[in-house]
Amino acid sequence: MKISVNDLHFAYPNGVEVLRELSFEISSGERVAIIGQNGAGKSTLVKHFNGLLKPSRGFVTIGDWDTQSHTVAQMAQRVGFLFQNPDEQIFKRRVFDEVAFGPSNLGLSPEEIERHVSAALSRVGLSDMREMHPYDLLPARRKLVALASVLAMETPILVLDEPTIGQDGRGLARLGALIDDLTQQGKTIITISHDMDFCAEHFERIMVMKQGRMLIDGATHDVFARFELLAEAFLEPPQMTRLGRALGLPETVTTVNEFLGAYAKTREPRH
Amino acid sequence: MLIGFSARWPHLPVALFVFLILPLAVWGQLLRELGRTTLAVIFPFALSITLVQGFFYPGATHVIFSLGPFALKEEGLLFAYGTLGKILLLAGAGLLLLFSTHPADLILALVQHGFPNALAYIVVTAIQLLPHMQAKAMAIVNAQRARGLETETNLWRRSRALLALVGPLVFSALVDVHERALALEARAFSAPCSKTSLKELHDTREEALARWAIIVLSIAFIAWQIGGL
Ligand SMILES: Nc1ncnc2c1ncn2[C@@H]1O[C@H](COP(=O)(O)OP(=O)(O)OP(=O)(O)O)[C@@H](O)[C@H]1O
Ligand SMILES: [Mg+2]
Repeated sequence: MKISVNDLHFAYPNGVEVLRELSFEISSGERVAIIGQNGAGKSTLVKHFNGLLKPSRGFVTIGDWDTQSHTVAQMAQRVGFLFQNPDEQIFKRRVFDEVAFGPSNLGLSPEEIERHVSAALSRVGLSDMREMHPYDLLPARRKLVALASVLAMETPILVLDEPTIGQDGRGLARLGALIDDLTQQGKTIITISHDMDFCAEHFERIMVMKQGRMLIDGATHDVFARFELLAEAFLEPPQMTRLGRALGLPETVTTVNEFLGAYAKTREPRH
Repeated sequence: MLIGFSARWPHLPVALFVFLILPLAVWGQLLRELGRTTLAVIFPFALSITLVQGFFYPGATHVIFSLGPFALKEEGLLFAYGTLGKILLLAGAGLLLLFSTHPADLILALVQHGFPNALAYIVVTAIQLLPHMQAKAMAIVNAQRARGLETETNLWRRSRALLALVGPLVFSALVDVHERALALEARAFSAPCSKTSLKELHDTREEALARWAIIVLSIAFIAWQIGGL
């Protein structure tokens, strides 16, 4: 299902224009990471994908639906949305109920709901916590509950607003594996993150936002090779990219594996 | 407020609202805000009290008109009018304070007059918490819509969704309180020394005089009403 954004402008009711002249498309099955400094407008942009915010000018379509003429609840059949702050999402007293909330709104049968919830919980590694109170879990786990409640909707498009925040190494690895797995299933994934290494490992396309505009939009390698432009948006490329450049590697590398490959080549005996 | 409540003349609360609170609001350029909020607060009370008391006031005899087995009675209406007047005055005076005084000023004034720091903090936090909880409720409703809850086309479902939020909101407010307490302690809130304030209060002689006058007047009036029994 294609997302297309056409000359999108947006201002909050207080009149400040937060998004300007955005136009792009995201095809079905793409993995896109949106990066940019605090307040660049990333959250504001993705809230247009499920109609939580409507454009002040221009339009956004998801498949054949214009967000302007559909309710947020209708958009929820196509776009799953993980909020930046899980505490603004979680409201049930049991993890199970929280995760079941979305599927039950889709009008599924109790058996189907049960199946969706179990699958989602096991994906985020919380299968044995389904009876717990969400507030008895650590914040990082609460974020996973919120994520499960979005996964359980089984939408073709997933928008994740900073899923990496507060996750430890294991949580990050699990999240990465989950994203790779969802891509295998053909889902479109759009993630906001401040973790450049995570973006490099799991995303093929990067959008860099600065003050409500799109500064760069391209393949991960190309984007992270542009040190000067990134610095302009107050961002740093992934560690491996910087290390590779410092060592004078001939190509831009973004992940540990790429670095090792490129590094090994430089040490091969020359004939 | 005290004067209005202790008076036996039923028109006094309303009179005080019209001739004291409203002019003060005009003076402070708060009339629109005050008017709108007061109406919103008063209206549900007005409706229910008038209906319930008007029809079911015990011992009432003067029937104004009857509707099948129900009869609207004069005593009931008078009672409703008296009660409403008091609520109007209470809401008006409370809201006037809320709109005209920044919470920080209020807290400082309370503390400088010997009110315990912690208590003052509680009073003001309670006032400030409302908009905070409102914003949070909005955020959760948005999250519910994002998971397929239809609220845009159906007012009934929308209000039900909001009602279902009361529990979780209170709960998360309690969690917040814990964190606030820790944050306050970390900044030496209960340190046993006197505190300085970032803000300065402009408390003029006239204001102090007015306060004393109000207190003396209130006590005198109550005494007169009780003594005059
Ligand atoms: N409800 C709102 N009303 C008015 N202005 C807002 C609102 N929400 C956000 N803003 C402003 O819009 C701008 C963009 O905010 P947004 O939350 O989209 O940034 P972000 O890129 O997601 O930042 P972060 O990395 O901190 O999450 C900021 O300047 C912010 O202050
Ligand atoms: Mg954000």
